[in-house]
Amino acid sequence: MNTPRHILGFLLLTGLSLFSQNRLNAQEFSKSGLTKSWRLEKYYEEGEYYPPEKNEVKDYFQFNPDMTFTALMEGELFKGTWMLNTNGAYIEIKYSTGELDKLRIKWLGEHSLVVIFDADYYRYTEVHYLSIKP
Amino acid sequence: MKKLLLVFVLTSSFGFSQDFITLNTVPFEAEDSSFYIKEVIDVRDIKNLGMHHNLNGERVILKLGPEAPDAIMAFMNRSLIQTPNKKGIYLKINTLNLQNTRRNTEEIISRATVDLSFCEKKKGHLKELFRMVRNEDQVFAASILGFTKTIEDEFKSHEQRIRAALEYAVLAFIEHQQDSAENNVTHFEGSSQGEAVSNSLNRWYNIIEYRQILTSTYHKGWALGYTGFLDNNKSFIIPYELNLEFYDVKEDFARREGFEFVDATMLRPGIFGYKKVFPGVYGAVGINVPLGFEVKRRLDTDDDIYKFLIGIGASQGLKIIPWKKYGMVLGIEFFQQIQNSEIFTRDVGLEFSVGFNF
Repeated sequence: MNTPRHILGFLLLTGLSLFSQNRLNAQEFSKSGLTKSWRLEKYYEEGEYYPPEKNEVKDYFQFNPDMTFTALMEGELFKGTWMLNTNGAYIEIKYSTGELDKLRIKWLGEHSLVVIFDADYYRYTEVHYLSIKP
Repeated sequence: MKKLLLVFVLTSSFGFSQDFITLNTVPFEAEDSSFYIKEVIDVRDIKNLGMHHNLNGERVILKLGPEAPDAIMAFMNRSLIQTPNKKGIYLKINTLNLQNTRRNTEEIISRATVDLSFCEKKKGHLKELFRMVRNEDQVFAASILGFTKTIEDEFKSHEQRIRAALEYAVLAFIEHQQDSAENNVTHFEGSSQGEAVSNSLNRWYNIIEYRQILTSTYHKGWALGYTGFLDNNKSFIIPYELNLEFYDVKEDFARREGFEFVDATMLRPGIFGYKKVFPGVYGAVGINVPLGFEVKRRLDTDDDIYKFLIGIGASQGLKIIPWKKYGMVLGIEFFQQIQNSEIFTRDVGLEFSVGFNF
């Protein structure tokens, strides 16, 4: 058994995990990372995951590069415009009716997007989306 | 020596200490902007972010560190890179402050307000091209029973809300500039010049009250109460109320009914509604369910008789809160109630209350 090598390996591992944690805290979001179609996967609330309701199984968000979006929420189709606030870590969507919603981004990855709808009754639920492959 | 003491007292009561907030700027996507920020001018009357509790629970004046023009200039320079073909824009800070208040018994709300004028210089004068007022609001879970003065997450994210508001204003200006050139999709709405926008959050009142029954048909007594509500100038206010009531049935009446004494301790959950009549004066109505225990003793016996009480009550009155921040609260209320007591089932009366808000 080569002790120094193990120690080195251990140090590298801890360094890597610290580094990745740091990355996690200061995640930077880009418009190009969002311009995809995202389908609703699940909800997370108070330590538990919940599947979408029956009328929500086809729900999705599609952010287009021209800053318009289409979304299916509870089976209903919505259209409008969107913007990304990098410093605020949120997406603001404006429906064609003029109403606004703020989606706080908890996580944005290559294949997954986790947001919180900043509105009463929804504020404490994470909404998980998965990217739809084109 | 006395003079020294006086100076000390004066400075300790008027000289609040300061705390500084640093912006942890993240560059944002503004690559297609046709301008950069040439100068930031602070035209605020009060050049700080307001009085807030810091992480130690002390009330301090919050300021941007470095001073606002430098901090905002640094923020802008991270994303709006200066190149020779770009136009220099002068940025006026009309408003930049922080507010927070409780919004219900479970949550607080925190707001950063930014009011910026994007100007160009023509013949030595600043000409406003675009103005944007932005409120960045965020709600935090914080039960009223936590009793803490500072919610750590809220305090630490003040700087992020300022950054978010600044970014929002710049993105709106970028869109405004592109919009006048070509017909793109528009998302932002600029604020018209000189428009009176109210950015103040409504105030949350905490009131502790002592209530005294002035007159009633059958009972006398007093109560201690807590009321919490979010002020609103227009709509109906639903406050949170909790009252603990102690009363005795009037002695002559109790004796006439064959009792040595009849006492009761009650809680009074209910639904109340306030409506602001004038600033500081609220009309109040309510229905409630008196719940509690009655203890009574028949004449010529030594045994206490306990009885569970339940009923229904109503009240109509006025509440006067002359000082918004801290101070005295006065109230007067008519009440009516029906309950399952064997001594009296219906009662009406008038109650006076005095308390303080904080």
